[in-house]
Amino acid sequence: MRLHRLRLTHYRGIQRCELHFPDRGVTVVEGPNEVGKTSLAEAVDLLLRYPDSSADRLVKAAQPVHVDAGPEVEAELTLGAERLVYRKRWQRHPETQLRVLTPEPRSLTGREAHDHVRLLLDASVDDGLWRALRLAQGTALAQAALGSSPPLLRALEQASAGALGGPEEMGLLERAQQERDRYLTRAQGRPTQEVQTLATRLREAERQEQEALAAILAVAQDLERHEEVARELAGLQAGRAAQESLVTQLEAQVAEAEQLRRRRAELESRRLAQDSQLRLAVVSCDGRREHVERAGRLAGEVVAGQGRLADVTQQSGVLRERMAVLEARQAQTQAEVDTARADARVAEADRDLWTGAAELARLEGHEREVTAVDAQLTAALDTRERTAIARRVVEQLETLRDELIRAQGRAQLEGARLRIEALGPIAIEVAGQRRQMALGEALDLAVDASTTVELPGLLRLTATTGRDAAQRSRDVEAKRRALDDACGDAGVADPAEGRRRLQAHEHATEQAEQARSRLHLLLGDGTVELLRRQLADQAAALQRNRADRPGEGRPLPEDLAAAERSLQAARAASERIGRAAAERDAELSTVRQLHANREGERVQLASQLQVLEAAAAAAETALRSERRALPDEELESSATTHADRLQSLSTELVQVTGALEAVQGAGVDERFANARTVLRRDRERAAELERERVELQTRVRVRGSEGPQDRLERARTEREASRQAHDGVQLRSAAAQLLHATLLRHREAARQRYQEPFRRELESLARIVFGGEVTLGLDDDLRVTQRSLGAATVPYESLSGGAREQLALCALLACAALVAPEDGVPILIDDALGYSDPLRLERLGAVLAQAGRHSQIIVLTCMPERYRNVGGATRLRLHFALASDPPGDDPPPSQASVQSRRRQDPSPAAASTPEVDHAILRVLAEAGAPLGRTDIVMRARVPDSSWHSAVSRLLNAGLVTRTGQKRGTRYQRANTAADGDDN
Amino acid sequence: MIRFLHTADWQLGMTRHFLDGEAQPRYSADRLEAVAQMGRVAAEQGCAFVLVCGDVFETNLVGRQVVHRTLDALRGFTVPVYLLPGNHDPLDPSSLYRSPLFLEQCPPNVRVLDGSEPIAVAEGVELVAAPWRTRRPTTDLVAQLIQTLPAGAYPQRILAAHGAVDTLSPDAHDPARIGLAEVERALADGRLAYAALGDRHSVTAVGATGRVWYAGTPEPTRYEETDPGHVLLVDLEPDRVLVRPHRVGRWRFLTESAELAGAADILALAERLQAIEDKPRSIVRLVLVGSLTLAESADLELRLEALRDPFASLHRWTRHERLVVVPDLLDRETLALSGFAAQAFDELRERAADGGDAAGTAARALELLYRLARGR
Repeated sequence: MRLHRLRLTHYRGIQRCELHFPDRGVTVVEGPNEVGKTSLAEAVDLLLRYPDSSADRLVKAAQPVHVDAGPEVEAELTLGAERLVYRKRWQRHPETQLRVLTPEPRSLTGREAHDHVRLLLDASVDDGLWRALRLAQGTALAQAALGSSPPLLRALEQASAGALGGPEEMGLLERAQQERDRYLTRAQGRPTQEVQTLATRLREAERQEQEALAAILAVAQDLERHEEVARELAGLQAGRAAQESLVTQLEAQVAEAEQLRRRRAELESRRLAQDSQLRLAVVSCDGRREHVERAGRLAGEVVAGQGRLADVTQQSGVLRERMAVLEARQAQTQAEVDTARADARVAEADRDLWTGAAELARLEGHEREVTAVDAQLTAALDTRERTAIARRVVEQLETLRDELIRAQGRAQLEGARLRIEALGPIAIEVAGQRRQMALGEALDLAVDASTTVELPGLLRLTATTGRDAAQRSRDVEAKRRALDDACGDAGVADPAEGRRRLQAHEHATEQAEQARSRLHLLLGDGTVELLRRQLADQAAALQRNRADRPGEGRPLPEDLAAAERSLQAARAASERIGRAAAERDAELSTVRQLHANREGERVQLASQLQVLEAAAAAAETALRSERRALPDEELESSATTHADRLQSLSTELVQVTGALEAVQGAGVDERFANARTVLRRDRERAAELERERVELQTRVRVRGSEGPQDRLERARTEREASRQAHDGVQLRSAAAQLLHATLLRHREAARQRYQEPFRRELESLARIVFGGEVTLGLDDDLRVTQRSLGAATVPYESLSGGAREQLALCALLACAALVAPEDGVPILIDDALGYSDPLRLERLGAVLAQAGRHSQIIVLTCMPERYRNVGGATRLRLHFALASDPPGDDPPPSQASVQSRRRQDPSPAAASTPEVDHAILRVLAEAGAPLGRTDIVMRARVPDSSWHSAVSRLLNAGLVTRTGQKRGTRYQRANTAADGDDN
Repeated sequence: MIRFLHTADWQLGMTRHFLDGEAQPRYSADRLEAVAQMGRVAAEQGCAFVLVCGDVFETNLVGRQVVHRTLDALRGFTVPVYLLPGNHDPLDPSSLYRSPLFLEQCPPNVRVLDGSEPIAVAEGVELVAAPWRTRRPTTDLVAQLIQTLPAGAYPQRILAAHGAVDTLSPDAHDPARIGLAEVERALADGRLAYAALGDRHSVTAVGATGRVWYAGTPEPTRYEETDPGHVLLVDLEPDRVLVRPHRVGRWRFLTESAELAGAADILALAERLQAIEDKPRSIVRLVLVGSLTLAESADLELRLEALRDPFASLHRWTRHERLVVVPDLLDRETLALSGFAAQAFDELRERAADGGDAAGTAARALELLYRLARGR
């Protein structure tokens, strides 16, 4: 649709106004508030949609006050392929006129004209788009849901190579969803009640079948068991006769064996008795033989005992005689021993006498030596006393002497010297002393204070020294005096004597020590006095021994050696005689012992002989007594008889035992017991099986009579039917799921694709406003959800009012740019962009200019400066006209005038209560489907603040119904036409 | 000459699980009706007696109602009826022939062949039977019986037996197989005049003597049976035997195969099915091979759906079905799909064609898409 010209007459506050619009580009209609700019847009709606007969509130609201004429609107426009001039007047003298200019000029009037335009409108103008492409102050911030606009979708689909289907396809998707809903819940994708019921039915049928089958199986098992039982019973029956015969046969054999056993027991008992009697007879014979032997043996033993006693008695007599001889010889030997011992004692005393004399001589010698050493000690001590001088004193003297010599040396060296050489033998006197000198002898003298050399008689030479020499001489003299004094004190003439005395003293000391040591050696711990006392005692003892010497008459041996020899000889003789005496004593003792032994043996033998003789007599007596009772011959014959009887019994026993073993060896007893057990067990088993057989038979009949087969057949039929139903539903469910999923996936992909052209267009416009880096996020309805500038992303709701308004404008313009020219409608911008700052306004100017290249954009504003920056815009000005312009007289194209009377012309922001109600009702009627609050407010263009009171009124009046809650709340027109809206 | 009716394998009490709704009771009722029909045939044809060679009942465990109704039907017979216990209803402890119900309700003209003693059924004609006493005999019951028969061709002996003959049984280890050679020797030396057998559900003459027959089941029970639905009218003469099958069964088990490549084939199949007579007693399974477009597949489904009601059962044998649905571009155009729906269609088409595990699901999803898009 294109709007070329619009003329309003008697419309609200406008008396007459005509505006011409270029086909493309931006037309800015300027005018102060209340001049009726908003009426322009409303008038187009009124013209296109309301018949001249309408009594709608909107129509009534267009009626000017105090003017007796109905509101009239005329527009020249292009609708689809037709260009036409369309005029309507309402209320007073209603009228509709249509003049088609192209392609086939013609004129229509009244309802025909109205219907024709409606047809054209329906075919070429999308009502939603027409409403969406308006941007009004206050409603701009809510974005239009452009995604539901068919022309835009057509355009987008064309741009995206037809990816998006039309309503047919959407309907298909909806039906696929409904089909899926039959099988799966929408929320959780679980099987629906219907599908679950089928599954339950199938499970139940299978369970029933299993139960029926189990019942039949139980019968089958019972039958099988019955067959087994019957077979086993028949087998038992067949084997029983043979078993019974076997038992009878074995029973007879067992009886025979019992008889044999009894006979054997009897024989064994008799044989035992016979055996005892035989043993008794044998014992009697043996006893008799033993008694005979014993009597004989005892008699022999008596004879032997008597012989042995005689021998022993004779031996004892011999020994007694020998003992008497030996005792006589023993007395003689004792006397010899005593004599020899006395001789030895004499010889010993003699030897001791000689030994004492020798000791006395030794002691005397010792005493002499001690006396001599003692004298030496006394002499040494004496010398030591005399020469006593201290070593220290001697050393002092020698020191003084050395000092004197040194002083003299110095005096000689440093003083004048006098050398006297003898030229021939001459006697001289030096310092008063005479001296003889030989030829060539020289005498060197030190000259001291007064040295004189005198050739007696001839000459006296006196040499004197100077003062130093005198000093030195005095010094020498002093030293000499000191030496002399010291010598005097020490009692010696000079140091040399002192040294000699010291040496003598030390020598005496040494001798005294040696004597003392010798004395100690000689005396030991004793003393000289002790030694002398010993000497005296020894002499006295010797004297005494001499006097007391035994062996009177016998000469004393001449010396110690002879005494020793005599002693040795006496001792040897004594020992020899002693040994001989001991040997004889031993012999006597042995003989005495032997005699005692023989005597004891003789007594013992005599006693034993007595016992033996008594026993032999008793045995003989007993034997005679026995033989009197039973003679030996009778005893022997009884034993033989018993032995024969025993033999006979044993033979018979062997025969019986053989027979029994023959029977028992065949295991008759065991076989008989076993056969009986087998027979009993077979009978028990047969009874048991018979019981089981009857039980099985009964059970099978009872179960069979219940007709389990019928039950199984019914269950199988049901299972088959429910399985078919179940499987069929599963297949259909899978198909429905697959179809729905596939459709949904492709639609989502298509939606993604068709958004792209819109996004490109929108972003190219937004870049002009926000800069080159802007990218936008869109939702399914093509609303902007977020704006990104570089890395900074801001949700749409968080953007400033200005930015939101700018984006909303860009979206409208992008939409208009995409819509095909034949689908397009003019974009109406009613005093919008109040939120934008001057910089943005400048940029928005560029955006509008850009969009105006393809679209017809009409801007209504009282703030023309906002749109000053729209390059190439056509500007029209509305003003309050003072004079009427004649109707039909077109004003210049770029000028417009409004003849208006001042009246209250409520703007949408202050819309009257009935107007708000009416607008809401109209929107709901047009939508034909439930709408949300946002949609209603936007479409009805009523202030958001008036919503609550308006909707409450409408709900209370029953004109509107409400469904859903909170954000899901939707409103719908109630089924009434009370307000006479003919639309 | 004596004429009798030889039948077997009634297997009363058996159900077919694939029959649902009213078909199942009708099938059961008709099987009982076939028995009643035999009584009428026997009377009309002047039969001396009716001989049922085993498997009168499906099992010994069938319900009381089955027993009741069977005995009621037999009560209406005007000739004696001899029932031989077979492998399905042996004379074991569960045998219903010994149940109080059977013993109380058994009409006087009905006799159970529960022993091997000969039964005189007419002047010079005896019946010798080899009843099953357990479900798994361990020996050839017939051979055992023949050994006890005295030599001589008088009286004529009719053997009543049940089980597989060794020349037809695939199980060589089954000790209960009937040795045909022994039977034929007995036939040759006159100890037997005719061997009436049961077990096979198809009418079958065994061997070359013309005197050994399986009567088959009087009403079909499975698809695999050959020529079921008959009883045998046996004319026993001193020197020959004449055997004539006589139809009593009305139900049919049919397997219809079709190769489908387009609308024409579908139409032909529909006409073929339409031409089947007595649809309420026809159980039909379809083996379909070939490939169809979505539209054709939908058409096939529609036509089969329309045909389904008259039949006792009309179903596709999916285990052997090799029918692929290959959507083509025409389908897509028919549906006028565009946008994402067209893309989804193409994806499903590819998945259905790739033969993978999910191909079947994809094909069904396409059919669903087709249906939804057509607004059905």
